[in-house]
Amino acid sequence: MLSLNNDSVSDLSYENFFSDAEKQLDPGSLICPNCGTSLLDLYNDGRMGCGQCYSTFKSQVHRALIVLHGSTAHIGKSIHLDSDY
Amino acid sequence: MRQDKKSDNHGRLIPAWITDPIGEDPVILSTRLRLARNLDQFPFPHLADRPTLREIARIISSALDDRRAKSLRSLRVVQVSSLSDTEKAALVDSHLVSLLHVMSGPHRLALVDEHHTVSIMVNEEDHIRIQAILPGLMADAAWHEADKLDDALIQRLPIAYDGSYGFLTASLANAGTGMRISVMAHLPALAFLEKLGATWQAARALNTTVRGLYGEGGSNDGDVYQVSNSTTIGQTEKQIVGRMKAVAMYLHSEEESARTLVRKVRISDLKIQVQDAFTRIERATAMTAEEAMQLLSILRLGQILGLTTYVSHRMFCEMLASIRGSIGAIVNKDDRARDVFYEDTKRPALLRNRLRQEEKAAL
Repeated sequence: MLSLNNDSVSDLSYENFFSDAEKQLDPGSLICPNCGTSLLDLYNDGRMGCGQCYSTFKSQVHRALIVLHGSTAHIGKSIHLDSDY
Repeated sequence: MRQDKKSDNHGRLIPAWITDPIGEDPVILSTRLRLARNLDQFPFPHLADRPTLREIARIISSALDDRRAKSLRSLRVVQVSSLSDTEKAALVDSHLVSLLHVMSGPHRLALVDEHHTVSIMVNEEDHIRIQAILPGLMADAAWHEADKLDDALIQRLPIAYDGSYGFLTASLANAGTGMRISVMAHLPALAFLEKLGATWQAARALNTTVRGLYGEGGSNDGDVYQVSNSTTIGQTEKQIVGRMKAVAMYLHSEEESARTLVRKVRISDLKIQVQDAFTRIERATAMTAEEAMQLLSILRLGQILGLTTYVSHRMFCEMLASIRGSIGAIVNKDDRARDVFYEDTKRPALLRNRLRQEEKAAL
């Protein structure tokens, strides 16, 4: 009856992250140096471990964003408060 | 009249989205906007151990403890684990914090302003979830409120941000703007006429996600639905707000047309359902929250279409934010919640009493 996370809108699964070729690779071969998240963790959990995971798993992130949002380019608010967004 | 009352019979503050008549709308009950943010370098909450979660909570609460910033001044900080079951349930049912947040263990903070309009969850799925919830379709105002807090946080904290991907979030479903807008729509006439299928098809074509009141897409929860943007990157915040306003206005227009149609050609059918609902409430000895909301939804539609059921907008929204209650028992299975709202057997009497109060107030 109840959804634990009111804001979840998409169920992420490994298909969003991996190409067919990548699914054949050792999923433990790529690990984020900041938080220790591996490709296997992404495969199992579907969540980034930290901000640096975005650069560690750049190709998987790119593919997943296209599937989920149809875009990979942020054009909204910048953290520089004087910017015009 | 009850309209000025800002707290319930237990002394709990009722959120502004229920009490504030400015912006009140008979179809779009509320607009909730949230921004997901994280601290740079730290692991996201699902990977962080307890000492790290404690440190994250300390850094964020220190940054927010700045009396010089007007947007931060009225926020009250609470450790979620220190709240009673009843207090947790009230925050969740009022949509100020998520159920995930109150069930996630220690070092979770909730910051809520005095009007219960803006809130910040610390260490939910992301380190920071800023939220504003307002009555009706006040999407621009909700964005403004959340954006002010966001600016204050960005000035004070190292936020995880990338020039290409924008704000970096635990779930890629939130990356980019980190912005999710949810409009809560009451659509009893479209449900009565069995026209919701076509409405959702159109809403989904506009890149939105539709869920039932309790988050599972069910159709039997008081005909209340939450509609949210399904994409967060590749558009500006202004574009997302604009799109969600357009979707909400579409829902509003469809529901108003359906209400007119019910009034013209199906009013006798509605009268029968209204009578059945009153009979059920009068005779019931136990009632689930879902059934209670469904009966109230029919009575609310009757009231809107002139059948004098005494279910006002305010009453419907208050019940929506308090009647579920079963959360109390879920949060702490060993300590059954004692609050009157939390027991199926108490719910029929609660409804009967409240309907009598409304009738008395209307006379």
